[in-house]
Amino acid sequence: MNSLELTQCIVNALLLSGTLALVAIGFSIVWGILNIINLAHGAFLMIGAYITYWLFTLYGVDPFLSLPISMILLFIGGYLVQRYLINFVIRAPLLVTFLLTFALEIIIMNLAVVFWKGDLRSVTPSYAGMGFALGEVQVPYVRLAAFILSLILTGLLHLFMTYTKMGNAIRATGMDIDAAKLQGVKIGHTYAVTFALGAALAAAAGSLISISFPIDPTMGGAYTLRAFVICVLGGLGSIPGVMMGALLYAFIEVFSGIWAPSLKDAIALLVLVLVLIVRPTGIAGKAFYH
Amino acid sequence: MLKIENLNVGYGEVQVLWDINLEINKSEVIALVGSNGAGKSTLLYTISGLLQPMSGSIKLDGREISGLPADEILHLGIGQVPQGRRLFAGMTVKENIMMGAYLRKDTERVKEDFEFVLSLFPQMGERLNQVAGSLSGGEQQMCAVARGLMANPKLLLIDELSLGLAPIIVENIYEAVSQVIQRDMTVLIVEQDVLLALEQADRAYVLDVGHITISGDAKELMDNPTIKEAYLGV
Ligand SMILES: Nc1ncnc2c1ncn2[C@@H]1O[C@H](COP(=O)(O)OP(=O)(O)OP(=O)(O)O)[C@@H](O)[C@H]1O
Ligand SMILES: [Mg+2]
Repeated sequence: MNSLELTQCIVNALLLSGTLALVAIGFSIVWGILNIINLAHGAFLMIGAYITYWLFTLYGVDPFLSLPISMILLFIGGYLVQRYLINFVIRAPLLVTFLLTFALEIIIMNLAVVFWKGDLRSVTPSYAGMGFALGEVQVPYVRLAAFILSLILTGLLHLFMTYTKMGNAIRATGMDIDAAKLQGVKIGHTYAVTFALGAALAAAAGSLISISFPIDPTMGGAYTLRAFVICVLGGLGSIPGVMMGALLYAFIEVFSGIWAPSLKDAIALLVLVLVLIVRPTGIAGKAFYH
Repeated sequence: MLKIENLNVGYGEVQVLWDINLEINKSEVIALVGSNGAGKSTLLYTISGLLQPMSGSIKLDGREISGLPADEILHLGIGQVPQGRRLFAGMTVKENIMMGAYLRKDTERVKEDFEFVLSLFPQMGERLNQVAGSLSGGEQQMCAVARGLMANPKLLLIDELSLGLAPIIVENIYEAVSQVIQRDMTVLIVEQDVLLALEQADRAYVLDVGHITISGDAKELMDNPTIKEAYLGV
């Protein structure tokens, strides 16, 4: 690998890390606060991608403009799913919610195949292939924009969690649910908002991904897996931890992709196993399990 | 103000409280004492709506509140400083204290009350941006009391404030609590340290393995032979 290729890989990895952080943060807050490993996270992401695709294909809506639409729709959908489905088993052991979200993911994916067919599809705005050269390194506009938007959304989430009443209620609930109840926090609503936020962030990631990569109904699973590995890498419960995890993971994925392009998912799992063996508390040092 | 009648509470099948009757009048300081595992915290959890009673009634100003969710009970005016402080360890002192005002919409009054609790516990003012988990035990208890006060409840339930703290700090915190009492807050103090509780209170109830066995004027109870023997070690 020469130095140009190396620099290109570094740029690619950086750009990828933004989107991956966005995918993982929604997954992480749901896991950290509700203690649910949401296997349907990738399915929400896929729906977000399709919302952007259809709005673009049918109505010519610019894919970046459809981002808030897919976020709002999935926020509502996520709220309802938590409030009227998962809420009934929230006191159940982790395995039960695990199975429930697994079932949800299969159902969503199957419905997507039925209604939208299994073909690969692409969102192709006029600026899709454009970019600029940084020296000799190519930077596609859409990926740069996706990277920046991911960082902005992550920052907004941080502000929301720190400075709003609802954000504080969510954090408090994650730390001590009974103490939160004693301060008047309505747990059912708070859980539903948390889950809805997770779904909206997944949708945002899906919309952004659809502009740079082809989409299909099965695309979600690979992202759920990556979100899982990133949370294990970065430790649960902290946004900086997740961002670090995503950065690290993006580098592993981009560089291993050069040597073994067909082993992407296997490598994710390999990293997971290695981390669990070497440093089970995650890189950030905080236990990822509760 | 609060009237508990024939209350029975348990965890699953295991009954912990039997036929509890207890009354708190406005502006009174009531002590609820009893040894380890007597069921004091269970009673407070039930009053606050974290546990549902098996039977019996809890009335606040004549209104039945048993069975209501915790947030409604707080909204109606019963706050709690739970045993073990139960701070939100990863949040700052300021965030913890402000969580106490979570339900309140009267922003101006909340600001005044925030200044007031800081005047009660000046140490908290110096630590506002510190993470609550990093406070010393005494400071954590101050933070917990401050959080409880921020709800501005009519009736405040305080569970084992003194546990594991140096006497001088306990005195300090009770001094702050007595200032609040003078501001017309009604308080129920739960303590294992019977003498300490009786000193603070107007009236007291003794809870013995799930039954209220003795009740009466706090000062008189200090001379009660049964209490002297069982709890004061005289
Ligand atoms: N979550 C629970 N599940 C089952 N039993 C419980 C639970 N919490 C408490 N108990 C039992 O209920 C009884 C009363 O406990 P409680 O905590 O109310 O006592 P307490 O008077 O507050 O004691 P302490 O002074 O030690 O705080 C005890 O026998 C305890 O073991
Ligand atoms: Mg107790």
